[in-house]
Amino acid sequence: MSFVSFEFLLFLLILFVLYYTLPRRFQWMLLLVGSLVFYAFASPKYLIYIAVTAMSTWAAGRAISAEYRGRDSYIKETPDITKEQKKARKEAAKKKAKTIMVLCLVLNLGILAVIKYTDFFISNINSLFGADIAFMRFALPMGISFYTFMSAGYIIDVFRGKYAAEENPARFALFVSFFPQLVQGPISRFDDLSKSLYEEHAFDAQSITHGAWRVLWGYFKKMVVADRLAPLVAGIAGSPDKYAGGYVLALIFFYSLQIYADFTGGIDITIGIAKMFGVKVTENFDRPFFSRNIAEFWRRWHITMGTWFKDYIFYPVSVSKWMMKVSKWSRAKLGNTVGKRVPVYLSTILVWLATGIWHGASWNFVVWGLLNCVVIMISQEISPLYDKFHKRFSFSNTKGWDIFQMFRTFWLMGFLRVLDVYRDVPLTFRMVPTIFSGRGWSEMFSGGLLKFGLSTADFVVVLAACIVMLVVGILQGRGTVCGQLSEKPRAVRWTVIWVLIVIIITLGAYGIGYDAAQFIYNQF
Amino acid sequence: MKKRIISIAAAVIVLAATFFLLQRLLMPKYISVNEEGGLAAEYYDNAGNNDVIFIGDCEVYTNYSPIKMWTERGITSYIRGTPQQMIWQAYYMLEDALRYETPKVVIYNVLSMKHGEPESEAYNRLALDGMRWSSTKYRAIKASMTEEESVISYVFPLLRFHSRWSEITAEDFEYMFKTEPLSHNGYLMRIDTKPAGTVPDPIPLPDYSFAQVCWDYLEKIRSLCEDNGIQLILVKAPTLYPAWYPQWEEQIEAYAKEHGLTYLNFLEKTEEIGIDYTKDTFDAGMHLNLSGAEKLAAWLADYLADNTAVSDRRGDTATAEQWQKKIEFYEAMQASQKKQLEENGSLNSFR
Amino acid sequence: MKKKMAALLALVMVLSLVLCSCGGGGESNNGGKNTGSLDYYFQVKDVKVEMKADAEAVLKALGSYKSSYEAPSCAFDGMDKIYSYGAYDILTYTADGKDFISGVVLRDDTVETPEGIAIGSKLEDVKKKYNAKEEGSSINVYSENCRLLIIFDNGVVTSIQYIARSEK
Repeated sequence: MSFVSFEFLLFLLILFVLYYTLPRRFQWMLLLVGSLVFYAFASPKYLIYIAVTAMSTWAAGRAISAEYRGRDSYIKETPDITKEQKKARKEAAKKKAKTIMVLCLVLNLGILAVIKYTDFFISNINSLFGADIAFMRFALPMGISFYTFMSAGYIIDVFRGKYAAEENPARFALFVSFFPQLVQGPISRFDDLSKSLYEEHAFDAQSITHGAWRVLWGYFKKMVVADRLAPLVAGIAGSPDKYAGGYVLALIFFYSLQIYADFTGGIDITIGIAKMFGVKVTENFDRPFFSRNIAEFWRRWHITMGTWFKDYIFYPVSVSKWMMKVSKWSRAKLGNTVGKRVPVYLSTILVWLATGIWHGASWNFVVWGLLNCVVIMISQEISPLYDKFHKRFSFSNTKGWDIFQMFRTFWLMGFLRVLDVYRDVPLTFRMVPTIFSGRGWSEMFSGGLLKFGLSTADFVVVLAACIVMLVVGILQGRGTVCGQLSEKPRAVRWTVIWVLIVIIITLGAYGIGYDAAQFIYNQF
Repeated sequence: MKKRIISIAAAVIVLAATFFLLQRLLMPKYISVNEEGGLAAEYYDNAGNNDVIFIGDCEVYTNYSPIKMWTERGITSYIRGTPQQMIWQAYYMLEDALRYETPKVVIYNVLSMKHGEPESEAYNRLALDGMRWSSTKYRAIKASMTEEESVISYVFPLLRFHSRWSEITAEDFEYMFKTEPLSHNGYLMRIDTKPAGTVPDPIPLPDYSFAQVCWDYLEKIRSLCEDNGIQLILVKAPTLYPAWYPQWEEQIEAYAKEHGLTYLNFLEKTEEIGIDYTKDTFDAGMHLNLSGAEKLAAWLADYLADNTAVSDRRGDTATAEQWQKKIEFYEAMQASQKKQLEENGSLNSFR
Repeated sequence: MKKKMAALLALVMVLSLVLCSCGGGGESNNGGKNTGSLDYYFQVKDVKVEMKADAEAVLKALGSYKSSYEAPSCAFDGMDKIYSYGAYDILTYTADGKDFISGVVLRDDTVETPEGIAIGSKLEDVKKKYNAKEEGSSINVYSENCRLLIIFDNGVVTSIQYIARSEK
C-alpha cells in the first residue's frame, strides 16, 4: 500500500480506532497484526522473507543471550574461579556468540544480497565476458533493505552485550515489521524503539494531534511538491538527447527538491503515524539543506543510515585487528602523517562503497557513494586551509557566509545526486559538463520547462511550497514546530490545519488529472 | 470534554462544507466547454410522462427531435444519450429511468455493441457524474470503470477534478449552483450543415463478433423491458461513418428475429425518410443536423403511432402546456444558432 | 610527505574513476530490457510512413490524395482524419495541436509491405516473413510503436493494416 492511497487511509483509520478501544495490553499485538496486513497487501508472497529474517534473528539473539547467561552463571556459581578460567570462559562464550551472529548475518544479508544484487552481478559478468546469462529478475520484498539492516543491527548489539535479546518472538517480529517503517525507514535501533513500541498507550489527545499534524505536513510535501515534480524530473532525465545544457541544471535543482520533499515527507508520515499510536520513532532528518558542508549534510540527511554504517561498519572495521595491521604497515612504509590516515580512509571508502551499494544495485549508486567519499576526504584534508581562511577574513564568520555555505552545499550535493536519475554513469558524466556549454538555456526559459505536464501555475505552487518549507525549516531551528503551533490561539491552529488539508486535497498531484501517461498521450 | 466534542464537530462541519464548495467550484460546468457533459443530468427535470425513451450514444442524441415527434403525432419522448455511451451504461440509464417512469417504448441504438470493454475515463465521467445516486449508479460505475479509476472518485468527484484548480474561470464561479438548459428532452440541436462527400471505405476487421458482455447487456435490456411491459425497438441511425458492417447487421437481425423485436436500420430507409446528405448533416455524414433529425423524427413518429402502444397526448392539457414551453425553448435555440451562423459562419456553442 | 599524501589521494581518485568507467554495462534489477530494434513501417514511392510520425511531413511527401474525411471525436477536441490515396489510406490523430500518423490501410495489391507482403499474398509466406502464428483469421505482429494486422481468408491475405500502438 502506498502512503498516498485510500486503502492506506482506511487501514489507518480502522487500526487507530481498534488501537484505542481494545484493552491496552493488546495494543502491540494489534500493531503486529496491522503490520502483517499492511505487508500482505503489498506483497503477500514475500511475507516469507521477512518472517525468515525476523525469526532467524530472534532465534540467534536468544541463542547468544543464552550463551552469555550461561557464561555469567558459570562465573558466578563456580567457587574459587581463577582469572584465567574466567577469561577462558568469556572468550569461549564470545567465540560461540560470534559464530551464531555471523551465521545469522550471513543468512539475512545473504538473502538481501542475492535478491537485490544477483542481476547486477550477472549484467557485469555479461558485459565483461560477453556472456549472455539470463537475469533472475527477483522481485524485491517490500522494505527488505530496511528491515534487514534493522535486524543486523540488533544481532550485532546483542552480540556486543548492549542489551539482552528479546524473549518474545511476536514482540521481536513487531520490531522488524512495524509498518510505518517498511516503506522508507528510518532504520531503528531495538533499544530505542522498544522503549515505546510495547508500552501500553493511553489516549493522549495532544500526542495524537501532534502526530496528525506531522502526518499532514508529510503529505503536503509528498503530494504537493514531490509528486508534482516527478514527471518533470523523469522527463528531463529520460530524454538526455533532447534536454541538455541548462536543463541539466534544472534537473539537479528540481530533483533535489523532489527527493527532499518525498523522503522527508515520507519520514514525517512515518513518525507522525507512529506518534499517533504512541510510538516514538527516531528522527531521520534535521533540516538538511541548512548544512554548511558535506560532513554536516551527512549528519542531517538520512541520519539513521549514517549512524548505522558508522556503528556497524566504520568503527568495527577501523578498530579491527586487520586494520591495525594495515595501520602499522602503512605507518612504517608511508610515514606517520599519511600512515595514520590510511585506516580511517580505508574504512571510509568501505563505508561509502557499502552506502552506495545499499542504495541500489547499479554502478550509478556505487560511483555516487565513492564520489561522496572523495569529496568528504578532500574537505577533510583542506580543512586547515579553511581554518586559515576563516581567521584571515572576518566576513567568513557572518550569517551571510553561512547562507553562502548552505547554498554551496545544496548545489554540491545536488551535483553528486544527479547520478541517481540518469540511466548510467557515462551518460551522467557526459551530461553534467553540458551545463557550461550554453545549450538549452534560452529554450528552457521560453517555455521549455512547460513541456513536461507542469503548467506555469504548477511552478508557482512549487515556489510557494518551497517558501513554506523554508519558513518551517527556519521555525524548526527554534524548537519543534508542533510545540510552537500548540502555543498559538485555537483559531490560528485550526486555520493552519484547515488550510493544509485543503491545499493537500486541491493542489496535491494525485489522481487521473495528474497521470503523466495521460498528459503525454492525451488524445490517443 | 463536551466542549472538545463540539469543537471537533464544528471543525469537521467546516471542513466538509469547504470540500462541498470546492467540489462545486472545481467540477466542470459543461457550459462553454464540453457541453455534451450536461446531458446526463438534464433527464431528472424532465422525467415522468415520457412514452418513449431512447438510450445510446451520440447517434441518439443528435439524430432525433422529440419536439418534432410531439408536434407531428403528440408523442412524448426523452433521449437518454451521452457521448460514446457504452451498452452497460445504456442499460443502467434505462434502469435508472424506470425509477421515475415506465415508458411504453424503449429505443436502443445498436452501434455501442461494438465496444466490448471500458475505453475512456473521460466519457465515463460525462455519462456517470450526471446520474443521481442510487444502487443503479453504483453498479453503472463498477461496470464502466477503466483500470485507473476508482469508485471513491465518483463518490467524491473533487478527488478527480481537483486538478482543475489552475483552469477555473469566472464561469466556474457563476455556475456553481445552477446550470443553463441545453437539450430538448435529450436532443442536442445543431442547425449547421457540412455536406457529406466521399466517405472512406470501411476498414476490414479481423473479427466481427460482438463481445459476450455486450450480448449479456442486450439481453438484460430486453428482459428489463419485457418485465415492465415495455416494447423494445432496436435501431441503427442513418450515419455514413463510422462503418456499420454487414457482418454486424446480420447478428443484430438474427437477434431481433429470435426475440421477436423490431429492428429498424435507418441506413436502409434513407430514401423513404427523405434524408439528403448534402443538407441534413453537420459533419459530412456522421450525424444529422436539425433538418435531418426532424425528418427522421417525423418518420419515426408515424411508425410509432401506427405500430406501438404510444398515443397522441396533445389532448392532455397539462402535458400540452409542458410541451409548449419546450417548443418555445426549441425555437429560441434555433434562432440563437441561426444568429451565430449568420454572424460567425459557424457554431461556437449550442445555446 | 605531502607528496605521499597527494599520491594517496590521487590513488583513491583514480580508483574511483576506474570504477566509474565500468559503469557502462551496469543495470539495475530490470536488466536486459530489449527495446524492439525493428519498428514496422509502411513504404510507398520512397516515402517512409511510421506510426506516430508527424503527419504533415508524410502527407506532403505523398502528394495529393483522392479524398479526405474528418471525424471529430464524440465530445472532446480530438480529430481523426482519413486520407484516401486509392491504393492505401493514411489515418491521423491530433495531439497538442498537431497531426500524427495513427494508421495505414492497404486497399489493393499495387502496394506491399517492406517485407514483400501484399493483398493476395499467401498465408504461408506471411507466416514465414514475419515469423508469426495466426490467431483465428488474422496475424498480428508488434513492434514498439506499431501493430501490423494482416487479415486473411482461405489462406490468402485480404487486408493489411498498420495501427499505431496506444501507450495505454
